[in-house]
Order: sequence, then structure tokens, then C-alpha cells
Amino acid sequence: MIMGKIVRLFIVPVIISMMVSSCFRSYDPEIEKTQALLVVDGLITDQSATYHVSLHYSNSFTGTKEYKAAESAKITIADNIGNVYALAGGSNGLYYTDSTKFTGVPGRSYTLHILLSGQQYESAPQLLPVSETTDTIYGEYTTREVLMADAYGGYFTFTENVLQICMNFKSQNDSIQGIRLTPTFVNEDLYVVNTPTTSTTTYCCSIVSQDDSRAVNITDEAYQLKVPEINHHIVGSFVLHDGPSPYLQIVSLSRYLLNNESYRYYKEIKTQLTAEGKLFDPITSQLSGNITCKSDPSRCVLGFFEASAVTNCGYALKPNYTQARKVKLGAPFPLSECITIDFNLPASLQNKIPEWWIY
Amino acid sequence: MPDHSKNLRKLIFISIFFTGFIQISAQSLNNPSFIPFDTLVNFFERQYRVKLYFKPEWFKNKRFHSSVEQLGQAEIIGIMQNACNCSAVTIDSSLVVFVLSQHTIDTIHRGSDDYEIIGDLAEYGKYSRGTIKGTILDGKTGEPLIGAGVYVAKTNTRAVTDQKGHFNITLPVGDYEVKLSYIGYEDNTAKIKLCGNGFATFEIVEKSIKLNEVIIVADRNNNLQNTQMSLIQLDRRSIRELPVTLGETDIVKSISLLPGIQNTGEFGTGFNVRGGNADQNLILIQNVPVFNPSHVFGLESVINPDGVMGVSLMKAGIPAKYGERASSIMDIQMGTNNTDQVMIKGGLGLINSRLSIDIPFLKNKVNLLMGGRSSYSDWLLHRMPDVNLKNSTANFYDFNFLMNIIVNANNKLNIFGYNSNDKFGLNKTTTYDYGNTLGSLAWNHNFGDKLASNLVLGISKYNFSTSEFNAFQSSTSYKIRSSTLYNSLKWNLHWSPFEKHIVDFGINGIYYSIKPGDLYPFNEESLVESINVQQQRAYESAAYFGDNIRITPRFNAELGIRYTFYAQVGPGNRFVYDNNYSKSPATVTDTLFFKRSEVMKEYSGLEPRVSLRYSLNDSSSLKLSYTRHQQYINLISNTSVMVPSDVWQISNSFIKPLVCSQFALGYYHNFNKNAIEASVEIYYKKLINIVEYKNGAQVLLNKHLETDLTNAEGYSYGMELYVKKNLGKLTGWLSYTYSRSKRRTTSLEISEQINSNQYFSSAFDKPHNLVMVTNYHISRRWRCGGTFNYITGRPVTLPESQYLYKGFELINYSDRNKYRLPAYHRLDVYVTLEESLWKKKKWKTSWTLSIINLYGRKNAYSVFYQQTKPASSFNAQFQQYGFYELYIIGNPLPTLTFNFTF
Repeated sequence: MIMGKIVRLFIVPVIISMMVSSCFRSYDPEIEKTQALLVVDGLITDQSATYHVSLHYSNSFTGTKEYKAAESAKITIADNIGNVYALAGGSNGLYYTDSTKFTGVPGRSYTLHILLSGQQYESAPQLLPVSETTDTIYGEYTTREVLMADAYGGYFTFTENVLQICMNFKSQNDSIQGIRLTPTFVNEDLYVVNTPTTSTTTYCCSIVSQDDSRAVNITDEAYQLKVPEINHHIVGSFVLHDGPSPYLQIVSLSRYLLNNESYRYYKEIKTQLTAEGKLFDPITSQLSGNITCKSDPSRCVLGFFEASAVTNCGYALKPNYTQARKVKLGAPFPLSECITIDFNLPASLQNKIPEWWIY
Repeated sequence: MPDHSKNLRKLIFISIFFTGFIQISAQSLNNPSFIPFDTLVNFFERQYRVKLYFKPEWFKNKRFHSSVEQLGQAEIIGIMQNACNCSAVTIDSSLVVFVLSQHTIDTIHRGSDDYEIIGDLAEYGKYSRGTIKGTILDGKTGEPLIGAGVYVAKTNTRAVTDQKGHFNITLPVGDYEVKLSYIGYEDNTAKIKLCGNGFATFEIVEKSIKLNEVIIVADRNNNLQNTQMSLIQLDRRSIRELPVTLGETDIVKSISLLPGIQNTGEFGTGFNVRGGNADQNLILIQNVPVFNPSHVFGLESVINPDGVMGVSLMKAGIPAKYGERASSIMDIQMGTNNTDQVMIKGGLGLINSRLSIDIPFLKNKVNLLMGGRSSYSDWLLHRMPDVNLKNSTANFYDFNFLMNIIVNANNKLNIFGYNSNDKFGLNKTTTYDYGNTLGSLAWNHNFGDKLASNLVLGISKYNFSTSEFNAFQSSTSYKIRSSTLYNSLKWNLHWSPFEKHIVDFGINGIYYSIKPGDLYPFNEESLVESINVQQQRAYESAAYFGDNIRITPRFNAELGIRYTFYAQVGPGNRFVYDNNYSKSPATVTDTLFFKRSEVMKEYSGLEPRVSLRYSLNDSSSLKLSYTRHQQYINLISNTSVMVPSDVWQISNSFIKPLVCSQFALGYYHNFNKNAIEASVEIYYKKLINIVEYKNGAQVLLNKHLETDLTNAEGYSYGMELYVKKNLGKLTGWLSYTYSRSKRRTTSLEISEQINSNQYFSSAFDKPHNLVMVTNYHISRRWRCGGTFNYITGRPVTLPESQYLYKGFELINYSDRNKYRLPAYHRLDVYVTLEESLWKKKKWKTSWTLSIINLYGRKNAYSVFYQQTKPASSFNAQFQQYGFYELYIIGNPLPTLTFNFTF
């Protein structure tokens, strides 16, 4: 009993003071202003579509968020069998291919060439993977702890119910490659407003935003499994404020099958975006892009030229069911016409089932 | 009638005759076992470490049966008393004074006829010279004094005690006055009569035990006399005076307060010496290296201070006997000189406690020292309200034992064992577990008076494991393990062939076996595929020779050469990479296979060692040294501090041995009879084949680790000013170091370059380092002190520009280590109360209250950035980055420790 008193009165406060003693605070270093560097953001896929390459310049870390475009560049993409495709455009730094003339072919390697302001830039050859992976998507009802800040600078946690969307991937080869996902989560909502004289039904949808950890959604490399599968990869979640939704929940998904270099680059991005300054985090380092300046090797170039196999699909989950089914997503979700609380929608949309509504 | 009576008389006569004959013969046979008093005294003083004071004339011509040596201490004293009809008075358990019954202690003095007999008085004149194998002990505690000075003015001969308090000095036979000196004690001179080779034990007491002239005190000038420079030596007393951290003396953290040495901050394993990485320091405990010297990720060192007898840290001028590492050698000797009774020591702290037991037995021929520490933070965590902390675990322990066996006067055995373990588990999902196991068997043998041998068989193993377990997703749960094993056999010989030469030579053999990392499924439900990174094996051997030469009384030189041979051996394989491209797993063109013990790669080299010392006068000296070291094992780390999961990597075809050459020059001056020591040292180090990691390197479980590493070279230089006050109520030291440490990569491949091969600051480039340590004895029972430390901020890499990619705002970093963290400074204070100073009191206790970071300085440990606005994968929203600095101890941290000795 005496020991317990000593612990409560003295030892525990000291231990607690040790634990709260370590912390972090704002830091305002004096950073030098540096020369703007060329940033290349390019992507080609195996889908018949217009591919884009964006050229911009970096900005000082403490500068504004406006990134100057690199215009008047000459850009071509060459494959490993001698074909060369020129890109057009240039305004605002955006260059694009002709979808009728160029579609990426799985199994071929592609190299990006840029000529800008007398300097020649080139990417490392990128192999466009062959897509031989199947996937299934499903939901799990679970709970999670959320940390929130209060108005007084303190923090509190609360538990929320979520429908967690997971995917399993299976490869037909001996191994499975890295996969990047760009999901969009949409709730379909139906509101019926009854007045003594009228009954109005409104069909709406709303985007469900995801937390930071899903910012770069790539499969976890952690370690290879004995079978070429990746199971239980978390895609995102629906927060269930009032229990399971009575209407469909939609996941619109673009799935990119990455080659090794692309996967490594996205992994580095994810590390950088989720770095928390933990004691044993690796020392910060540059992202290893695949673009170099051939005419001046000492010139630093940022960004990446990516060649990935892509699959676009939609999934819908029925209320109280965890198994998702594939759905064809026709017209895009009219998010600009989403419901507002006062139901001020045009009359043309009231009592009318819209085209994009999925049953 | 048979004449039975006649036969009986004959039989009785014959029996008496033979009985008498046997008895006489026995006496004759044993007659040489009657030993003179001087021999008995030498034996007694050596055996029991007790000094005897008497008038020789009281024991003139007295001889004692040799069987008296088998008796106990008290019995022998009793026999001596009877022989001279005296009384014996024991003082402080270390002095016995014989007095005639009519004398009191106050009248006992050493007159002109009083002198120590060394050797056999009966053989005086038989030899022309004699060697004194002496020991200087603390008269109060019986502990050996390291670095105590011995000076014989008649022959201008000097000696300094070693780590065990021993010294050797050879003189012509005769009478001498020997001046004994040690810092913190008073001067005195002992008179000796050297008859031949012999042993002598002198004791120096801190406070005067007034037996008139029998006062042996000393001051220390070993910083002037030692040929070796840049040497830090701590004995038990000095260790007790070291600053207290978390209520306990921490040797490694305290060492980092000395010039030229830096720690890595509040958290972080190891220390840096003169701009070198932490893995360039060889930390030896009983001649065996420890690979991870920290508990709790660097909060406390693995060394229990209670069992430590002495510590030596060599930053430059390292003798040829030592090698294996480029920057420093820290040699920690455990032990005790307690031969009287069982002693128990310990301490109770808020986070951990410690206990050590010292047991002499078998007539003091065997001594066993055991010690251990353990934390008890687990039961505190389980009482925390937070669920995650309640399910977490954090604890450590360490245990050591040392057995000293005195086989005979020429043979001694030491058996040492050590084990430590740290375990951390976060919410039963992620666990870290690491530990050290050390063991050594040492045999010390004297081949006569001039040659001594030390043969050590040692083993050291470091294990690390981590696991990730998720009850809801057990298919991806895994474990990772790595280990480093070090086996050694070292034979060192110490030879004094001539008066002016002390020679050390020997051979060392080391076997390394490293498992860099293996991944396993956590359990049967896990589908994780195993990964096994190839095991590494290597042999390192060395032969060395060094001679400490007294060229003139003022000029000493220590010249040495060490030859090392290294071979990486199979079984194993080696990848062959395409020379036209930068090394990567994709450019492997071939794989070579090597069978068991087949040499995969070998290296060798000579390591010259030169140290010179010139005494300008009795209170100042100049020293100069040049050394070259080769290091065949490196710690690969890509974090800002050493972490338990860092990988040890031996030299191979891609990683050449690290080579370090160092020049150093120093001036030393003592003031006020060595009460104040002062020194200034400058140094320059050149390093080649430094292993640097490339940007984005993956260290753990990397089968192609060489593709993530790059070769670099570097240099460091500096100046160290040091002033230390040793006497008086106020003691302590002030040191200032100015130092720089730079690196640059050397590869022509752009992907392997850092900062385009331009020189950049190493992580230890902290130009200004100021330390002030004070101890103040307020009274006999109260003591207080403080430590102030100021260091230039650590170099860091910061973002300089930002850009957009796929809607994400990303960061481009500056050149490596271009910027600096804010300066580090901190004040720690402590106060100690000794509860009782009664000598006869069995229990001695003390309380120590210490406060770390008295004024709550928030020293930045690292800098990081975080997005202050969530990123959306759908919308290309710009994110704001916020810069933050992480600090470990941001508030004053009090601790209270209770220490006891029984």
C-alpha cells in the first residue's frame, strides 16, 4: 500500500513527465533560394487514350505555389522497335499524344525525349507491363480510432464506424508486381421530402474523402508471399455516421500495374508524404526519378516518366452486403450537382432518376 | 625357555630407535621449511594486502615454520605477536602495527632505521640489481590506483601504475627513498631497502592516518609521464566522481563530456571520437568487444558501473597491441581487490535498479564478482490508462560475472561473462528485441620477472530481432532476425628485457560470422515467403610488436608496428555487375560461388604506431604521435543515429577496408603540484574507403547491399583545450574543442555521387564543443555538482524547393548536410547525501537527486516536415508543409536514486 502511494505520488508523475517531455514544435529555418528545376510528369498506358506529359518548373520551398510551365518544348516517345511518336501542345506546359496514332503496347519499352531551351533530356527505358492480374473487391465493417484537435489546442479521440474497402490481387505469373490505385469513393443518396402537398425525390451523390495515408495508394511491397497474391490491400473506407448506408456505395477505380522503377518511385513518394520525423526514420533523400539531362549531366531533373498497364472499373456495394459487384460506370458522377442541405436543386432533377444512378 | 624377554627388549629398543630416527629425519627433512621473518612478512603482505609496521630488531633471527603460511590472517598475526612479545594494532583493515606493550601508537614512528625490505634480506649483496613489482592501493578501500606515480630520485627512475595499480621498476640493490604520488592525496616518501627481486605494496590514503611519518599520499602526473597521448584513464574513484545521469553513473555518456568526444544526443547509441563514426570505436569489456553499447535505444549504456575497476580511452597514439577500429579504443576492466569479506552494492532508481555482490573465498585465492541491473517499466506501462501503452512492453536487463582465480604466484585465471537484453513491444503488434552476450577466459602467466603472458579466449554475440504481427491479418505477419558473432584468441606478451625497454608483442586471431538479416513467417498462418540474406564470414589476424624506450630521462618513444591480414571466406556467392552501368540488381551478369573456407577476398596492411614524449621539465611535456589503422567491419546505417537494426558489414570485393591515418601533437602542463592539469592537443585525420549510403538506400534485408552503398573519403581536424582541477572542495574540468569533419564520394557514376563528389559535412561536423563539469564537496556528507554542455548544431539536409507530380506536392532536398540544427546546450545538476561515513557501519547508503536539463532547453534532435492539410488523391489540392523540430527531453527531468553498500 505504501509502495502504491509512492508510485502514485512520485514515480508516475515523473514517468509521465518523461513521456510528455519529448515532443515537437514549429521550426523556421532559413532556406536558401535555389534555381528552378525542370519537373517532368508523364504517363503512358496500354489503353487507347490521349496520354499527357506535363513540364513545369519547381519553386522555392518558401515561395508561392505557382509553378511556371515549360512551354515550347519538343517531346517524342520512342519504343524499342524504332517507332517514334511526337507530342503536340505545350500551352501551360501540357503536351499530349494523338490517341489514333499511338497506344502503348504491353511488353515494349518506351523512352521519353525532350528538347527544351537547347537542353536534351531523356528518360530511362520503361517497360510497359503485361496485365495478367485479377482482383476482387469487398468491404469490411469495422471501427477505427480518430485523433481530432479541439478548439483549445488539445486533442481527443473518438471511435467511428467505417466500411473498409479491400482488394485481393492474384497474378497468373509466378510473382506479382506492384499496383497503384486511384480510387474515388462515392455515396449514392436518395432524399424524399414530403410536404402536405408534395413529395419530392432527389437523387444525389457525394464524394467521400479519404485520410492522408491513402494519398499514394500502392500495394505494400513489404515481403513477397509464397503465392503470387496480395490479399487484404486496403483501398479506402466509407464512414458510417448513422450505420450502414441504405443506398449503394460506389468505388470508381483506376488500377495501374507498375514496373519495378515506377513502383520504387511511388514508394519513395509515399515515404516522403507520410514521413513523421520518427526517431528512426531514414535520413531524408531525393526521389530517384528516371529523367536525366543528356547535354548537361550535372543538371538535376525532377519527376518521372511512367509506363503502366491500367484497368478502369467501378464497383458497387449494396447496403449490408460486403461483397462488391462490378458495375459499368457510364456518365461521370455529377458532383457539381450534389445535394445541398436546402435541396435547392433544379426542378429538372427532382423526381427524376438520373442516368448515372446505379442500382 | 625361550628368551622372550630378551627379544622383547630388542624389539622395544629397535622401535624406539626407528621412531626417534624418523622424528629426527623428519625434522632434518623439514628443516629448510623454517622461514625467516622477512619471508613471512612478504608472504603475508602479498597474500592479505595488509601492510605490517614493526622494528626489525624485534624479530631478529626469528624463524617460523613454513606451515604458518597455511594459517589464517589472524593466526599469523598472533604467532608474530608471540614471537616478539608485542601487541598488534589493526588500523583501517589495511595496516597492522606491532607495538611493544609499553608503547602507544603515538610513539610509533619510523626512524632512520625504518625501511621496507624488498626481496630477501638474507640474500642482500647476492644480486647487483632487483626488480620491484609493486602495487599502489587506496589505503581506505584497497582499490588499485591507476596512474599513480613512482619516482626514485637517486637514479632518476620513474614509473606509472597501470590499470591494475601495478608497476615495475628495476634498480641496483641498496637503500632508496621512493616518492609516491597520486592526485587528490598528500605527498609522501617511502624508504626501501632493495635486496633483490621482490614485491611491494604501497597504500595511499586520502585522509591522513597519522602514524607520524607513515603517511603515504600522492599527486598525479601521469598525463605528463605517459608516452601515450590523447589518453583518458578512469579508476574507480574517478568513475564515482563522474557526472550522474538519471541518478546513476553512466560511463559512456560521461566519457562524451571529455574533449574530442561527442555523443549523438539524448537518444542514440554510441559516441563519436574526433569526427569518426560510432562504429570506429572498439569498446572492450574484459578484452571482448560489445557491438551495441546501449540500453533503451541509447538512454543508458550497457556497462554496469559498479563492477568497473578502470576505463582507458585512447583517441590517438594507440599502441600496436590494439587494432580493429579506426578512431578509438575503450578498454574497460572489471574487477575488485576486495579480499576480506562479502560486499554488496546497489542502487534503487525510478526506472531501473542494480545490485552487485563481491565474494572472496578459498582463502582469498578466488574472488567472484557478480552484478546485474533490471528495469521495471513494464509494470508501470501496464498501469497506464492508454490502451496502446497498457498492451505495450519496454524493459531491459544486464548481468555480468567475473571470477578471478590465483592459481599461484605466477598464474592467474579470469573467467568473465556478460548478458544483456532489451525488449520493446508496441501494443502487442510490433516488437524489438536485441541483446549482447560476451564471454572471456584469460590466463595470465609470468615467465620469471621479466616476461609476462596474457592469453585471452573471447566471444561476443549481438542479436537483433523484430516482428510484426496483426491478429486480423496474420497472413502477412513476419519476423526478422540478424546477428553478429565475434570469436577471438589473443596472445599478448609483456617483456622488460633491459632497463630502458618495455616490449609488448603478440598475435591476435578473430573470426567474424554475420547474419545480416533473415525474414521468417511469424507462424503457420503466415504466408510470407522467407528471405535469407547471405551469411558473411571472415578471418582477421594480426601480429604486432611495440617497444617503449626511455631514450633519455626526458625523452621517451613508443615505436610499434602491427600487421593485419584479413580474408572473407565462403561458403557464399558474389554477384558480378556489368561495368558499363551503375551497380543495381538489374545489372547482375554473373554469380560466383565459393565453397566453405574458400577465400573470397583478402586484404592486408601494415599499421605503424609512433608516439614520442619529451619532458620539458617536471611540470610540462610535449607529445607527438602518428598512427595508421585498418578497419574491416563497418556498421551500415541510413538513419541519423545508430539503431539496433543497423547492419554490420564486413569488407568484401565491393567494400574495401577503412583506412585511417592520424597525426596528433600535444602540450601538457600541470600547475600547483599537479593540482591543476592543462593540455592542448591538435590532430589531423585522413580516412579512405568510408562506406556511405546512397540516397534512398535500403539497409535491412537487402541481398544487393553493395548497390546501395558508395565509396567515400574524408578528413577531420581539430584542437582540444582541457583544464582540470583535481584538489580542493571544488573539482572538475573545462574543455573546449574546435573540430571539423568532412566527407566526399569518389565514384564517377553520377548515381553513386553525393553532392556531385564535393566535400560535405559529415553527421559529426560540429565545430564548437564546450563542456564544464563541476563537483563541490559542501561537507563530508553533502556533495553537489553540475554539467553544462554547448555543441554546435548537427548538420541536416533540408528541403529547398517543391514541385507537383500527379497532383502531389513533393519536396526536393538540398545537398546532403548543407544546413545545421540549432545549437545544443543543456545544464544538469545533482546533489548527493552520504547517509553515514562511519567506517565501522556495515550499511553505507546515499541518496542522489539529479535534474537533467535544468532550464528546460528544447534541443532539436531532428527536423521533419508534415503536411498541415490532408492530401486528396482525387483533387490536385496544394498541401501546406509545416516544419517541426523533434526534441527528446524538453522539460527539467528530476530523478532520485538510493545507493547502498554492505
